[in-house]
Amino acid sequence: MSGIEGIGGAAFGRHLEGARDMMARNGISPDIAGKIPHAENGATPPAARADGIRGGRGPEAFAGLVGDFVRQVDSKGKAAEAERLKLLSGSGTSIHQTMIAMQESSVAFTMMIEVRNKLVEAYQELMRMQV
Amino acid sequence: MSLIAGVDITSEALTLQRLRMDVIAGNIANAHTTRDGAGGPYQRREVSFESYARRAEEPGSVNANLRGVRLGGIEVDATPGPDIYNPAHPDADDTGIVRMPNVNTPREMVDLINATRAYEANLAVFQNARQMALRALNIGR
Repeated sequence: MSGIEGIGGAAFGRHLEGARDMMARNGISPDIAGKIPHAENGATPPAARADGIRGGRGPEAFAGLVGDFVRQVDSKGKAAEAERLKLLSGSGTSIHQTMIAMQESSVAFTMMIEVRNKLVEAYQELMRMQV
Repeated sequence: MSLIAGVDITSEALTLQRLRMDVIAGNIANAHTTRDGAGGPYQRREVSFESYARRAEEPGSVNANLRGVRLGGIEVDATPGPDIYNPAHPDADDTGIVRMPNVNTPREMVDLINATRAYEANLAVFQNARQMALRALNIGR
């Protein structure tokens, strides 16, 4: 598409597409993956593109996306904590299950950091644009 | 859905090796037990595993070959143990013979080492799978 906005939107969309794929392929909730704005046809201002963005409009979709992702990672962390407590209270779990749950939670957290980095990079690229 | 590959399978295998260790511990602890509650000496237990298709799909599909492991059963080994002549023993019969368990301690020790190595092998699988996931997260950094 033509125009500065078009270029910026396409770059932004590419980053978001990457982040969406990263999460969808790892099975972190395809439904929030669907909430990432899908830059199908270049870019128009978010307000005028309610049909192009699935699940929300512009900033709300973004905040919802990040919030949902954090909640998913947090649920893995809570599962790890629950396993740990089960182990310490001696009821039915074993030490390797606890350690595996902790490692899962740690990898999910690292992945969340990487997605955050990608989104911040997208934002910075957008902001770097000369007006 | 897990981020680390094969974590469900590895976790099952680790649990089973621990169970095998428990069975071996029971055998070794009862190596001289002459009263088993069933009227005779302790008979050693043997554990058996079976594989199963982790994803319940039709047998022809590729996923039928993705096999996890589960407990097949813990069976009693019925071969009789040695009979010892010891009339002073509380469980000696009229002729002074005591029936001892069929636990062969060196054999149990070898099983113990096998169970330990199998446990460590599964741990190595998990470590490597985790490393794969972490390296994947470094893409593009």
